[in-house]
Amino acid sequence: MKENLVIHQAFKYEVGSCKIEIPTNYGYNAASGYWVNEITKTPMVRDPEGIKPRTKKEDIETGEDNKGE
Amino acid sequence: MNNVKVLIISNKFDFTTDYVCIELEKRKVKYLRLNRDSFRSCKIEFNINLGELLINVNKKKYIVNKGLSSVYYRAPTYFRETFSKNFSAEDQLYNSQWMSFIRNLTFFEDAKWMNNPVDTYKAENKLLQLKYAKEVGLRIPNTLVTNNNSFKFNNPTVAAKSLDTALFKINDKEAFFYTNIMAVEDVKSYDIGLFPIVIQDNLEPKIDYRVTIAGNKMYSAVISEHGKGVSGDWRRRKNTLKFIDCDLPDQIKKKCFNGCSLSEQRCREEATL
Repeated sequence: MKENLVIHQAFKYEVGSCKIEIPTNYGYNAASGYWVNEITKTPMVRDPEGIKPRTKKEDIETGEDNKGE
Repeated sequence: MNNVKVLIISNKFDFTTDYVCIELEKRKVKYLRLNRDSFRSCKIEFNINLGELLINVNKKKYIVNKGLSSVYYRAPTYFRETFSKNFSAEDQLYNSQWMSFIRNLTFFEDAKWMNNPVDTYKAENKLLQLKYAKEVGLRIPNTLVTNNNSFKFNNPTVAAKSLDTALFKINDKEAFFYTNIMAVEDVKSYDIGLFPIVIQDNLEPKIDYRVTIAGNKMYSAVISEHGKGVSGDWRRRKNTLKFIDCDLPDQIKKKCFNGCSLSEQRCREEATL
């Protein structure tokens, strides 16, 4: 008999870094609860150069999409 | 002191939450975003006798009490990763204890919750979900949970799944168990005695849907690959897929809404026991 099914058939991958690099001109505004361009005060998600939400497609399967930590 | 009407529990790098906060600010709603990865920058005092939670974030003071009308809990799944990284003792305790704090915010049970942890706990248990789906009239596949290598199953090809999310470390790598479509005899050629797995009918062809219900609104999407449904586990081929808005047949919609009502009803009954 072969080894355990789940262990043998699991997809194995290198542990990568999930760190998100935010450009230095953006800062998190704790009072507003969103990131802003500190020069123009535009919310980052509305800023053409800003980082946008990642889609489900870009999640690494961790069981909680790396957001539950 | 700022009275909080809407509490958002998220993560500093969850940019989707930014849109929600921008909209709440525009509507002049009194809201507070708490980030699970930034609790170190906030001080809390939760007086259980008074039912008042005081939160100090970046020198601004907030109060959460019975005036809280809703809670939006983003990415609420159970934390499973402590094992896989070399967390310090501080980090392990930070994660476990703050997660407990978040779960205990269910203290504010009169608020309308999006992803109440009590419901999420149930939602993460496949077998219970299948039972509830069947109760509201949705068809469910033949399902067997077993750690017995001599199990019997009607169909020669099955979908083999882990009972819980199977994310683990093996040597220097991480591993994740997707749904595997396999012949029954192939499944039996492996040792399954260590822990139970889920054996289900292989639905082929199939179409995956994602349905979200918020109050009386339903948002559904079909997961499509080249205009067709996806064979096996769609998460394996995310780059080639499209998530397309769709409308479900009225009968199915009704069953989904009934499922949510049933869940709410159960929660109310449990609360009164």
